[in-house]
Amino acid sequence: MPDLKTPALATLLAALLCTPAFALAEDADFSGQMRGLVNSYNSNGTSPLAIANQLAPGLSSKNTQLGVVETELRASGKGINAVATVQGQMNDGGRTQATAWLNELYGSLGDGAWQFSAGKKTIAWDVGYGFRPNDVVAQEKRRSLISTTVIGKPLASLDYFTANTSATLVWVNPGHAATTDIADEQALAARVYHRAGGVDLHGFGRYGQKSGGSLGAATSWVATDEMEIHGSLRFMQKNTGLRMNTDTSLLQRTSPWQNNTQNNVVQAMLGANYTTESQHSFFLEAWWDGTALSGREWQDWNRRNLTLQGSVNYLPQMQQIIGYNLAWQNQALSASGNIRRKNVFARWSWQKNDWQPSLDILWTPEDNGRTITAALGWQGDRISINGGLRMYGGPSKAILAQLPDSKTAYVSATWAF
Amino acid sequence: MKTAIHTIALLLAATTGLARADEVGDILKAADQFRVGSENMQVETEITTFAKDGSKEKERNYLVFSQVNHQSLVLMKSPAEKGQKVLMLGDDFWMLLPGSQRPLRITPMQKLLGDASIGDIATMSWSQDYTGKIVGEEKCDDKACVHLSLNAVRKSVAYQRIELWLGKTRHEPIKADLYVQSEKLAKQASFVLDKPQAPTAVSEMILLDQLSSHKETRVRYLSRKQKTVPEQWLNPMFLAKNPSLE
Repeated sequence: MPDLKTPALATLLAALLCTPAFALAEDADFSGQMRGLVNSYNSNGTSPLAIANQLAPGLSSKNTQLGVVETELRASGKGINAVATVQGQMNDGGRTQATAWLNELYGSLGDGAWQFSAGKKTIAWDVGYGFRPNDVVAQEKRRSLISTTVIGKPLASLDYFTANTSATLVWVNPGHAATTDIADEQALAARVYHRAGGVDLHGFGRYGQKSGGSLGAATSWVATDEMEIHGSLRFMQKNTGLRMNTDTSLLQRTSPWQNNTQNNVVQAMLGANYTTESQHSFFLEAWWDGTALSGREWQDWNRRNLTLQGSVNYLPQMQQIIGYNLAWQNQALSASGNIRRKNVFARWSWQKNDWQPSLDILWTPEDNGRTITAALGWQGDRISINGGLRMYGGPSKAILAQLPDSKTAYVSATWAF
Repeated sequence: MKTAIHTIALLLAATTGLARADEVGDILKAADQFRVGSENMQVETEITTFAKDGSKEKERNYLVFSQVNHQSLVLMKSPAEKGQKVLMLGDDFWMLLPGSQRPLRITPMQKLLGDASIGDIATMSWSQDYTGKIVGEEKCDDKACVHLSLNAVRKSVAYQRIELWLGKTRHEPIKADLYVQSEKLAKQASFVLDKPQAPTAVSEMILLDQLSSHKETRVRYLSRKQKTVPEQWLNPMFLAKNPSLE
C-alpha cells in the first residue's frame, strides 16, 4: 500500500498550481520535468556499520535498490514564483512511499533597482562547485550523483541593483524564535557583489541567533579564454557540530556523539576550470573545512572502532551493546558537510555532440581516501539520460573506505515539458 | 626631396588604408542591418539541428536582447533548457542554470559548447566585433558579390576569422566561412533573405558544421523589435533573482 506521507501537502500543491493568480495570468509561465531514477547500492562489508550489524543483527536494514519517479513543476506570473515536486519511491523490499513538497513559493515586488521578496526561496551565493562555504542562507547538497532542485528557506529579502553592483539583505527563518539546529536558526545574512571587469567580487556576512557572526569573501576571475579561477574564504565565530564526548569508557549507554560548539573556525577553497577548443573540460578544486573532524579526532575514531571490535573477544556476552556502540560511530560521518578537513576534487568531461562522458575523483590527502565517479550523459531534444558508477575506496583506515556503501550505480531518464 | 616624396607616399597609403577601413566598416554596418536591425534589439530565434541524413534532431528557441557595447542577454525558451540564461558583457560571460540559482562565470571557450554556439545567436554585430579588408568582387551563383576577409578585434568572439560574401549593391549577407582561433574552418554559413529581389532582412541562417558533427543547423529569426533593457538586467546577480524576464 502506498504510504502517502503528506496528502495535505500534495493537495496544496495541486491547488497552488491551479490557483487563479497563475491560471488567469496571461503572462503565466509553466514548465517542468518528469524523471525516473534507479539506484543500486553495494554494501561495504568491512565498514563499522556492517560489523555492528553482524554483532547486533537487524540493527540497520539497508536496501540495495531504489526506484524513484518524480515530477517537478514550475510556475511563475504576476510576481509569484513556485516550484513543487511530487515523488514516488519503491525499494527492493517492496516498500513504496509518496511524498510532495514545495521547493519554492515566493512573491517579489519592485521591478528596477530595489526589489523585495518574501516566501520560501532558494538563495545560492558562493562561487565554488565542490564546496561553497559562503552559501550561508541554504547549503545545497554538493557532488550529488543527479542534480536535484534545492529546497528553499523561509525568508524575506531586500535587494538593490545597479549595472555592476548589487547588495542583498536576507532575514532567514523569521518565524523561528529559538532552535538548536543551526540550519533552521533565525539569522540575518548579507551579500555585496561588484563586477570589476573580468573579476567578480563578493563579500558576505551572517549573524545567527545561536551561531553568532561570520564573515566571508569570494572571487571568480576569467584569467584567459580557456581558464577561470575562483576562491572563497569564510571565518566563523562559532560552529556547532557532532563531536565525541569526553567520557573515556568504551561502552556507553547512549550515543557518545553530541552537538558541540567550536570557536574561530575557518573554511577556504581555491579552484580552476579549463576548457579546450575541442570541448574537453578540466576542473580542479581544493578546500579546507575547519568544521570537519580533525586528523586527531579521526585517529581516535579508528582506534575506538578497533577497540570495540577487539572487545568482542573478551566480552562476548556484551556483543549486542558493542554492536550498538559501533553503529553509533557511524554518526561521525555526518558531523560536517565534509568528512575530512583537506579535500582535493578533480574532474574531466568532454562534450561531444549530444554526449558527455565524465570522470571525477575526490581525494582526501590526510588518509588517502578517494571517491571515484564515472558517468555518461546524453541530451536529446526533450529527453536526457544519465548513468554512472561511484566507488569509495582507499587504505583500510581511510574514512571514505569505511562508508556503509562501497559502490553506487545509477541510471536516470528525464523528460522536460 | 627623396624623403618628402617618401613621406607623401606613406601619407597617401595611410589615408587610402583609412578610407578602406571606413568603407569596410560602412559595408559591415549595412550587412548588420539585415541581420539585427538597430543596436538595442529583442530578437526571437529558433534553432533547428538536422542529422547527416536530413532528419530533424533538435529544436531550440531563444530570446536574445542585443544591446550596445557588445552586451547581450540570451534567454533559453525550449523545454529542455527553459530557465537557462547567458549574459555576455563584452568579453565577460555568465551562465545561469535554473536549479542552481547562481550565475556562473564561464570562459569564452565554455561559451562555444553545444551544436549552435551561443555566439551564433548572441554575437550579432560584425561591424563592432570585426575589422578587415575587401578581397575583391566575385560571382556568388549568378549574383555579383563583394568578398571580405574579417578578423576579430576581440579574442572572445565565437569566430576569430570570417570570410564573408555580401551582395554588391545592398551589402546583404550571402554566405560566410567561419574560422575558430586555431584557424580551423568551424562552420559554413549561408543566408536566406526575406525578399530575394529587394531584401530587407535575413530570415534564416544555415550553418554547416565542418569540424566534427557535419550537422546542419538552421537559425530562423522569428521576430525582431527595438528594445532597450533596464541596466539591472545586465547585472548577473539580477538574473538569479528574477527567473522570468520579458
